[in-house]
Amino acid sequence: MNQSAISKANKALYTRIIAGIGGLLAGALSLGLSIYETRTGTEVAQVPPGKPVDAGQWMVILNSGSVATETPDGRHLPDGKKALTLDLTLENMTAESSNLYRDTLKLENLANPPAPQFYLVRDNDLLWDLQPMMPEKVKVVWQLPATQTLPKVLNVAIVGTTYKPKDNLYAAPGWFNPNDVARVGLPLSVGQGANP
Amino acid sequence: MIRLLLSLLLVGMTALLLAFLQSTTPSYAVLTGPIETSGPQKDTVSSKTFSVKVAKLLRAKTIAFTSYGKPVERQTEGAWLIVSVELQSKYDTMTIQAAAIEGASGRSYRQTHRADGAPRLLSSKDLQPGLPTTGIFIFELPEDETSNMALVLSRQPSPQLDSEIRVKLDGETVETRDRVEIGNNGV
Amino acid sequence: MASRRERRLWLASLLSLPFLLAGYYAINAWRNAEDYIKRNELRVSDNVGGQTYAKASWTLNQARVIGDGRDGKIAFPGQMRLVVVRLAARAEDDIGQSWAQCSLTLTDPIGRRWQPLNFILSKDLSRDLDPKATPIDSCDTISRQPPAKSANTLIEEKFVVPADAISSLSAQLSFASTRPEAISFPLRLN
Repeated sequence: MNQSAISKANKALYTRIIAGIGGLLAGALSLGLSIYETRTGTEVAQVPPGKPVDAGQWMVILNSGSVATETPDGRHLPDGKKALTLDLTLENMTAESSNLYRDTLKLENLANPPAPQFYLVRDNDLLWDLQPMMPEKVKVVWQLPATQTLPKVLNVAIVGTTYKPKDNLYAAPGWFNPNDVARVGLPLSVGQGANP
Repeated sequence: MIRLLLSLLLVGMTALLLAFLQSTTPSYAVLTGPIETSGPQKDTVSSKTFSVKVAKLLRAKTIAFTSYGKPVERQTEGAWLIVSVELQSKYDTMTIQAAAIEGASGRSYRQTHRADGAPRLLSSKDLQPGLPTTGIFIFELPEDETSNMALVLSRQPSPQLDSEIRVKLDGETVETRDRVEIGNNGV
Repeated sequence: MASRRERRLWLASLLSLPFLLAGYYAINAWRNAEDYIKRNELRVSDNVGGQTYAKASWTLNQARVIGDGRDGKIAFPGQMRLVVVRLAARAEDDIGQSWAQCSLTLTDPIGRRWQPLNFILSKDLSRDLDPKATPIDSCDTISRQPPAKSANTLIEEKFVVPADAISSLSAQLSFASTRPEAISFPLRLN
């Protein structure tokens, strides 16, 4: 009786020790991974305007930026607003029509920009879906208060995503992990009649 | 010793069996995905809930129509494809909102929003059971995708356990024009 | 001995697993089934004069077929016909919210079901058919302001149906408070 009780107690002790070591290893691994992740990823390529940037789903070419008093579809802006307009060429690189371009551009040296509006230059109207393998000239407009000062050179970060054929939840294909792929410095030119 | 080896072997075999089961299970998207029916263009292709008969295929560089009283003209770098179809619902009042063309490369081109407001667009028309309804779908796609196309229709985009009809389009029957005027009586 | 009791307990827990799993699925399936029953019309009964349904008694006031030239001058192409159904309701009690999510559809013996035309189309058609009369409201509109106790009201809906279905149509009415039960009014149109 005594013998079996002692061996059982030993087994329990060994189990506890092994479980403890396993838990410590898991914790250490997770901590190491998070420290490693904060170390890399601070360098983003600086790209001149006019050069194509591969952002996974989209091929983005930023051409120029300006300030205007009208939206590209000819409508007047509400009083006290000016339109920061960027000229770009967007091409859908995925296998189906998509309108997921809204998070592709990030304004870096502008505080709290509102949500941008996308316009198709060919139609002078709002942009809906972009068809795959058909590049289009697009204008992106941020409506800012007229009194807001804008920097001389606007830093725009292009956000890219990577393709995963099977995601972790539904095993369905998708584009994940948005990260800054490139940064473009756009000198801002003042459009016609920008002074209110 | 033997017992340890045996248990390791058992664990290994179970792991293999589970891996095999996991890799051969259809994904969630396939299990809850569309119920497909395919057919050639010359037939009326029917699924359980609706049926499609493709009448005419038109390819053009420019389309023109009147939307809310204003004339609208749209041009494209690729080609416009206008598909005239006759749709019929079998049991329920429904709208076929999702229409796409699968091009020669396998890419999927959803119906264009640039032609919103054109007359006789089927994506906003109610289909009543027993009454065939004719109308058009308009697509924009690169020229080289038009060589081998399939029309994919369903009630909603990404149908879940709902019918999806795929009609294989015959490239020979596509009529090419430079400019198409879409009026209330068709193209 | 301790080990035998332990072993028995262990075996008992293992054997109970399939039952617990089955119980879990059964409970979930029961919830889904309850939801389905509440949302579909599963028991359809013919309307009997004097019977109270959703706190009111119902009669078929009028059923018109438009488009073949017999009623009015409007003619529709091909097999398309317009059916206008009017129901009269007398509130037997305070209706309150019991008329919420009204569903008035036309059905035929094959199992086809026609939904009413939308609000705007219906109003336009009312004006075309009878420019001078005030249009009668749809079920949705009336259900938001139901009649008071002992008051009467009319409900009208319009449907587009094929001509070959007209002779066998019935109107089926149900509300969120009464589903899965629905009442049916055979239209007896020729």
